[in-house]
Amino acid sequence: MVTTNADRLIAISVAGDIVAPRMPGLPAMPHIITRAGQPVIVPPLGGIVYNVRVGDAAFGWVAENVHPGVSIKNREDGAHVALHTLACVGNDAVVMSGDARGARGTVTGKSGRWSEHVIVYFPASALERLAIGDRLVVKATGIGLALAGAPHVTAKNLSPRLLEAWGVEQRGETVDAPVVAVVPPELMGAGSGLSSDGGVLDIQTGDPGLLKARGLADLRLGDLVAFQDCDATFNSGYHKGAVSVGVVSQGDSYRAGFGPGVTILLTSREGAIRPIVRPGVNIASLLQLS
Amino acid sequence: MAVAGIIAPPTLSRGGPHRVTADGGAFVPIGMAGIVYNARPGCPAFGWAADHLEPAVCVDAADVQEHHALHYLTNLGNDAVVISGEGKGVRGIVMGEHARFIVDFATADMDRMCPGDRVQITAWGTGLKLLDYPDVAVWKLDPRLLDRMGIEAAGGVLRVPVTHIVPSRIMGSGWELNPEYVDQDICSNDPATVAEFGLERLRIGDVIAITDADHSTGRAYRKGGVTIGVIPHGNSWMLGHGPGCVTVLSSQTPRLQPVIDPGANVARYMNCGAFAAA
Repeated sequence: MVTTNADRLIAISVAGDIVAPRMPGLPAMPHIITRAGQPVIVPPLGGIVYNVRVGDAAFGWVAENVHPGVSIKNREDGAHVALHTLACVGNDAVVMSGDARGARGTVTGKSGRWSEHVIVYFPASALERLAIGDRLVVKATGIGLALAGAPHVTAKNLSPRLLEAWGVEQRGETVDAPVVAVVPPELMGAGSGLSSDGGVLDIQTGDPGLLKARGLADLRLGDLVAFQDCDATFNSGYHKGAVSVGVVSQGDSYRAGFGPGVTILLTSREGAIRPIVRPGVNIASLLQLS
Repeated sequence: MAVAGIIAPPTLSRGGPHRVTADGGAFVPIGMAGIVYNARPGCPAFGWAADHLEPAVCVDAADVQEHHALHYLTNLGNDAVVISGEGKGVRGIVMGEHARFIVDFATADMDRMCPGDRVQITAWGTGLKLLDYPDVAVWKLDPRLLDRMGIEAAGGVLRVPVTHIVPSRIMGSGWELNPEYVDQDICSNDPATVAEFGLERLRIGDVIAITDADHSTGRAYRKGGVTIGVIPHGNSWMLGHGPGCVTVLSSQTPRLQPVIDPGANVARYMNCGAFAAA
């Protein structure tokens, strides 16, 4: 257990609409170039994804950075930044328009530069009734979450609900954080140097042997993972000895420098997070998303 | 072919211009865009009270598609000429690519230039190949600059003079971009890492090597890959940022062999910037 200031955090409405998948305009060359230099056409991130859920494999889908479930954003710039910054993993989302009005979901992650989606889990029965453009409200709570006895640990994008379910334990000023694997610094990819308040840090996946050696080859969407030598206090980036932990929010990528996107949840430049590697540490089970 | 842009004015955000440092401090961004009168390519990359210092003159195009044509077609070492304003006719050399192009002009000429003046670049080099080394990708190099980089063929490898060698793991912002468009920063927020790789001695314009880096199709970690780059801008206070690196050569194998040479700098090679004859 950790002592937090959760009872002082406010819950506030941020809203977004289910986004349509987007592809490049004319000329009609909607390809992305793979890390092998080959053009491919695959579904882009976003939309409503019916057959990939949190808890499923992060690898192997014929899609670019697939988002399980529903992706939302707000078309008004300031409201969009508020949604993308304030929504936290584990927050409740409620459908406010359309046939699924009243259905309840859970925020499972975000996406990074250019798309900036918030990714929301809904049960299959609700997915069938949702439509592109439907409005969701997220009851955002978690920004400002502080771990009382761990001054060198910063929480990001983390709801009190997930922190409580996660099983993080405090040892002096250090916290033990259960994860499925630790990502070595050479596999930090897209997202480095960009905001960790929202956004993701990708795990590069161009070296299958290294992924296997580090226990990363069978990652699942929703898995909690640690980045070694990564500070994400203000932006994400390499810092020797720092540790950051996050949740796998997006599926694998075809592109060089990209891979499963991780939404940062805890970070410590001083290395005051000890990753405890064990199988099955996944928000689908922690938050009972099924 | 000719591409054109304007001398980009510096811009700041309304409602508080501050950005956040890696330590959680705040700073007002100064150093990017505009005309920087007292720093030219070849100057130190560290030590300025500036973030992402872009020395000399910054050129960009406002129209989105013209901006991308400028970025995809312009290469380091290309000729530039001012085509409007009081400085019409003065000539410069492209020395770096960041969100804007860094173009070196003589200090006296910069006094005759103004943000908004048009600058035309004779874009040359996109598509350049090394015919005997098809496994080496070439990016962002004017053929004349390539000729001056002191690259020597020896036993099937290309020996490239560089000032520094850094590992792929310390590279930061720019993984999400490609060598065709804008640089990638070296993470410089950790003093131990800066000391380990001698980064504080970096100069803008220095040619460096990144090991275990394959920048032939995007930017990626690849064991054994070697990438050669050029520093376009100065250090940054932001986490995941630091001096930039414009990718110029990359191989998936140790075909490229960096050789330490403290003088490896594109401003020196082109006799401009801090190395211009007085």
